[in-house]
Amino acid sequence: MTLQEFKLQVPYTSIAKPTRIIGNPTPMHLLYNAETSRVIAFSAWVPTINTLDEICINTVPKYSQNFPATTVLPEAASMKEPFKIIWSFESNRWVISDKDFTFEEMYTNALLIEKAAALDEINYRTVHYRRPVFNSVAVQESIYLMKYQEALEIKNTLGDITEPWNYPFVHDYADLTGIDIRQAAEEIIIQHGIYRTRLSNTETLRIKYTRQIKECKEIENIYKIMNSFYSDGEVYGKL
Amino acid sequence: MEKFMENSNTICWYNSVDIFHGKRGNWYKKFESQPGFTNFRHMFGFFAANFSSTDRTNSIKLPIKTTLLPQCKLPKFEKVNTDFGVLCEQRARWLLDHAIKTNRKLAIMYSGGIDSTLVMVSLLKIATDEEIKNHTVCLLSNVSIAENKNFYDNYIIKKFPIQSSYQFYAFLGNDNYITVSGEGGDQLFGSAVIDGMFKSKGVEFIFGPPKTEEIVNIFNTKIRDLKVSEKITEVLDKLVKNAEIEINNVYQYFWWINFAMKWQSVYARTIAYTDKRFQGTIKPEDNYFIFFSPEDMQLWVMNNTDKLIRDSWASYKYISKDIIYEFNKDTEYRDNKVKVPSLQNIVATKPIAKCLGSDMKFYNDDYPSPEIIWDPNNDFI
Repeated sequence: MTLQEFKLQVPYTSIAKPTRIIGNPTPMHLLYNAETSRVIAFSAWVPTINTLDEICINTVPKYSQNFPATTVLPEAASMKEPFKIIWSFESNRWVISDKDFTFEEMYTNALLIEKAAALDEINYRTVHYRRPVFNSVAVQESIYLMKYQEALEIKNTLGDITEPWNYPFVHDYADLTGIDIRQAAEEIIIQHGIYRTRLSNTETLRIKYTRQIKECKEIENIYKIMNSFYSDGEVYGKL
Repeated sequence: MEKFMENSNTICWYNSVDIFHGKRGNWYKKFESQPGFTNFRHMFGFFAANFSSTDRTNSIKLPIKTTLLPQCKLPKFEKVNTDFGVLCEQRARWLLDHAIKTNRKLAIMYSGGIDSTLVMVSLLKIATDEEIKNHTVCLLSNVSIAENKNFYDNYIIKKFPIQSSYQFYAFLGNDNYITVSGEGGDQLFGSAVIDGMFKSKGVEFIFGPPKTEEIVNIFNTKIRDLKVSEKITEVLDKLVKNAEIEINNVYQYFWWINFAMKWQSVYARTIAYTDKRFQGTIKPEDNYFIFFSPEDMQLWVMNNTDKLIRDSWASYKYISKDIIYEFNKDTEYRDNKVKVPSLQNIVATKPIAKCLGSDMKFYNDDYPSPEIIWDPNNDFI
């Protein structure tokens, strides 16, 4: 959606899924589309708390609110024009707000909320793509790493590898599967290679699209980026 | 936009999702007003979302103009009396000799499915342990291991050097490797769309004559627009009527469409995933092959259309499964293994080129305009 289209209030469809509600106590103004009763802009946002190098470029909101206003404000059902609501700490509920926004402010806010929703979706899908190698058993990922380190040591040593206390994971795996220790180490290295490359693909995808969303300046382009993200992620694979 | 037509006159493969997918297609709006677009796009809903169609029989005018690569041409029919297992062994020997002569390794994409297991069996039959060790690499994933665990335990892990297939794209166009996929096997023996028909229509229908009205109904179960279904049937009938062999039943009808129209699509789709740093060095028929493409294999199939399947979906590719069984005596695999899609798992989360020029130029970011690649006089209007 361009700024001009936004001013003309064309029917608006948000990337944000109405069911993806993340509670946020920060006071904010929300601009709603009267026809659809969906949020189209809000006045305040909370920067995503992030780690590693991404912290310096990630200044778009993590929190998005996109739900029918009527679920929190029954009188929204009778509104005929776009309207805004604000969280009232006095009455502890959402109320109609009379704060005015310029169209530029609305556009910027709508852009930001769409970015937040897009980033949220990218994170959500990334978890989905990682599911084939994700293990929710406590400490399992550390164990995979320890097994791999043992296997590498066995592969690279010509010395004695028969003492089980030096390589407990590989020894037990060899006993369990009825193969010798070097073969067990070889299998573990292969498994780790598969695990690593699978994760590497999802990480590349995540970084690529997260950056594109952060740099995006037009709402319309967010939709295009997300289409490419879905296509790279899964749709192209439907052969 | 990359300057299309500067170095390449035609395309040989395109990514249909971007153009025809109503929800995800970023180029949909650019093409949707083209003549025949609506009828043609329903083909993808029926056959596959990502399907770059090319007519090897030269009997229909497709909306998107593609050039047939020389190695994808449909063989001129002739009577042959060959054995499919022997042809597979000859193919394996030729590919291995090609690797040895050029001091490279065959990087074989192994999914654990019927086609790629047959590739490995053929290699194991003709090669020495040393040749396999020094001139092959098996690319596999955890799914490949699970799909054929016995074969992995008894042969793959014991004989082949192994790498993860999640990075298959790093082998494509790499000077040290010759990538070999098990592509083409599906097109030789049938079509994935028939699987559902066994359940919904029954065996008698599948091996009965392909009556136009019933074919229209099959398309319409998915397309849900009778006029579009009739148009698609009308166009595809030309393809079937121009076949040099007799198409006697519904199974063969859909096999022939797959064999005639999807061949180049499966040949080229793996190439489209080539890593950008190797896009200038990928050379089909030198460092990239699909195992089941040789003309003599295609002629074997055209001479043996009664051997594509028996009487159930489980018997699909029974010829291939019998060859595997003769080698490893795995009764469970022979009797119960059914086709499952494998490439999807590997290519998910990997970016792919938008289209390929017939001279192997990669168009990574954009498509040629409709004026260049759309035929306004196509048969889908």
